[in-house]
Amino acid sequence: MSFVNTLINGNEGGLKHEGMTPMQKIALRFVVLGVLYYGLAAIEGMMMRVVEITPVSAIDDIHFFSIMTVHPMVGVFGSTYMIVFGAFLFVVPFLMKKPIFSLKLANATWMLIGGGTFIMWLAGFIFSYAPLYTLYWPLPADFSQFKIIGGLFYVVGVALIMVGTFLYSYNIFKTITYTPEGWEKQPSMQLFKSAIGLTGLTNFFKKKKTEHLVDLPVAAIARGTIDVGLNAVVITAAGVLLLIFMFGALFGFNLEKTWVDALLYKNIFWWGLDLIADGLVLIFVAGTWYLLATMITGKTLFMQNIARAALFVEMVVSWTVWSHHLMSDQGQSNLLKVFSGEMVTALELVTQGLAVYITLVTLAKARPLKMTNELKFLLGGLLGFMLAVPAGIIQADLGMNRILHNTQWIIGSHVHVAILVGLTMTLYAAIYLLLPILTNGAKLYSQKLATAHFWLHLVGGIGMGSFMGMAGIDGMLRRSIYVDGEYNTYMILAGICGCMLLLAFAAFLFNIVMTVGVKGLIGIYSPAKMNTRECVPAQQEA
Amino acid sequence: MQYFIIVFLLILAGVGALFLLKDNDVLLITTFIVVIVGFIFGVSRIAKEDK
Amino acid sequence: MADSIDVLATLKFVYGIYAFIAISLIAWFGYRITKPKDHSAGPKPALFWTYVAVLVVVGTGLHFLTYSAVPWVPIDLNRADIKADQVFNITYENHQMSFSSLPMHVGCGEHVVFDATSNDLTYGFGIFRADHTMVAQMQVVPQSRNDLMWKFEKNGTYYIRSTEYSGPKGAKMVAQNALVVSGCDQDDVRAVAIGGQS
Repeated sequence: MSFVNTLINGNEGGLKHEGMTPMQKIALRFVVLGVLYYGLAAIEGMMMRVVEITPVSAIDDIHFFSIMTVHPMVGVFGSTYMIVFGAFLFVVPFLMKKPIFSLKLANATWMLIGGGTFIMWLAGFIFSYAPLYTLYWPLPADFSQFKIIGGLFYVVGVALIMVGTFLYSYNIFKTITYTPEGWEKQPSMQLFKSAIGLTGLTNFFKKKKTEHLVDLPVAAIARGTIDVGLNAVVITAAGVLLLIFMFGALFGFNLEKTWVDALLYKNIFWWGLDLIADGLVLIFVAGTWYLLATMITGKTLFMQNIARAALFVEMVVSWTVWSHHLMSDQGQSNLLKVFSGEMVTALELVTQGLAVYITLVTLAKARPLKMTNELKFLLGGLLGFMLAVPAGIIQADLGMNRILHNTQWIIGSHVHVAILVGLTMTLYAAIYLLLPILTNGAKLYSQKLATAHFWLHLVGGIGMGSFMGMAGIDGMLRRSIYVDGEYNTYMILAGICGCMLLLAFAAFLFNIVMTVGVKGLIGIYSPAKMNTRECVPAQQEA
Repeated sequence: MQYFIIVFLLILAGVGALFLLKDNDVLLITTFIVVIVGFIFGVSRIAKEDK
Repeated sequence: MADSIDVLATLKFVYGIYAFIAISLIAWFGYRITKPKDHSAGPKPALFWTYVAVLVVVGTGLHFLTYSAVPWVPIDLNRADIKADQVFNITYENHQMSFSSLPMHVGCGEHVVFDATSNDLTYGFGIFRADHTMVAQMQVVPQSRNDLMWKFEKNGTYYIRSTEYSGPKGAKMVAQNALVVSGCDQDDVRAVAIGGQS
């Protein structure tokens, strides 16, 4: 087949979207947009990498910080939330063998998050709104530095993302608990309690244990979605606060920024954000590891009950750790710093350490295994968290935080290794594994490209995080611009690794486009021809 | 529907907390507990819905 | 007395070794997982519980270790009970830092407090050597207490840089040669030493 033919029609016939169920289409709509937003984050990340090596005239300070503001939002909400929500809206009905509650809500979710991300991105791209995603009060309302219109675009974009997020969370819990038409009445409250872990908690104290009604991956999705919702409450509240001050500024009311205590704001904001970073990320990743391990091996998970308990513990722990972001805020009480910031945070080493152990033993017990793409990326994801979680525990220490806070160690060794190697490689593992199920068996265009994708991403991700971390140990700050080449060597090496990450993405994107074809990609967004609530067509299920 | 109403109320509570709470660890933690319990209660209303 | 260079060098060494072990473990695992198993038994419970115990001990033990080994931790936690020998006031406003005295002169072994106030945005107070390595930092939050108590045991000259983003206008808030420590037996070789033995 010619190159152009394959590009348009896909590999060996590509994606036959006419034969896809609405559920398959919805999942892929999320994934395609999520992958494209990852590309945007990667490109803008490389632009920042260039400035970190040497300032360039095309990217002045405000442009640099505008990119830095939207970059994590595009990455977290535009990419990660999209891929994760798409996967889970498919996986929950698939595993429960039950129709999704609402296809309409699922479609609305990707449109709202996709559209909201774009509008939020415009705040940076057009209006140079640059308070950074941390929005430390009162910076986002500092209209001597930023345009009000930029702030409005940002808040409206984030609000749309949050509405989509609430719709996702409603759809997930509704799917778990509702009784589909024609079905026997489902034990809704018992399903809810089992999903979020209340049954497991009471079982701990009972001799006669109540049976778990939901599978382990569904339990992980439910518990992570609790944190999704809690975070959305906090971010929406922060958005409303910004709107109040923006409208005040717009209509000439003198609203005192001191009406909001900046340290309190920081506590509330980081409590909310940790529900993403320490809550849903770790819970969803652990759940995805368990699902991947069981699907790759065809065996049950090792120590299932401990895995289930650890997911509940992680959810509760995530509610209590926020002070590790305030270790260098001298107004924060010693009690919160030590208890919340240090001691409870240390439990995350245990919960994530358990997830790593359980996943590795499940795989080991089923050997020999074929080194498939999904297995490779799963191992990469495990390694990412094995590196990033200890880095996080180290910086969540009063002694270490004093000399690491706001350095490149935080954003390099911890955040980017966690997100790019730990989280993204786990998501790629899920994509490679679910691709045949979602596409009715579309055949991957090139294994060589998939292998290149793996090695470039793994080495690039660990390398970039490491060189950033080493620069941080040598005093390089995050959120700063260095003009005299003080950290050139590290930044050049980090830049080379960043290029590897971008190349990895290009290899993956090309491979996927050639697999499904441009017609297939466009067809994903056309209305489904099949009128069914089943996840996969009957012949695939057979 | 009750879920969305509860979420809306929690958001308002969050905005109120940003304006009203000052430097008090106990009030801060109490706010977090109220939001957690409130949200989980809101999710339980989804399970309670007839359809 | 250990300073940030000693602590960070230890971090680099220890974390570097750990990272090498983690990467090697996964690489070895990836290799072995494709080979048939030589025995059918899973890991013994003793291995699992030992592993959990190690995680708990390492995770929490780190904090006890740094409390005893890193000098600024007990100083920071107990600063309300330690009498300061000097207090330096720094005010932040409109992306400018103003100091009660410049340079700030500190004697060897004194407990000094850097008391920073912000009149508008969130900033940072970071003490850096000439080679840009960090001595210490704290956040400077408006309407909040921002006091850092420190004890210097080496002579040196340091610059102050805001370590928190306050908008593009604040990206390069630096006060050169803002802090001079003198009277110590030892020089901080990475900081310009214009102090020396008194």
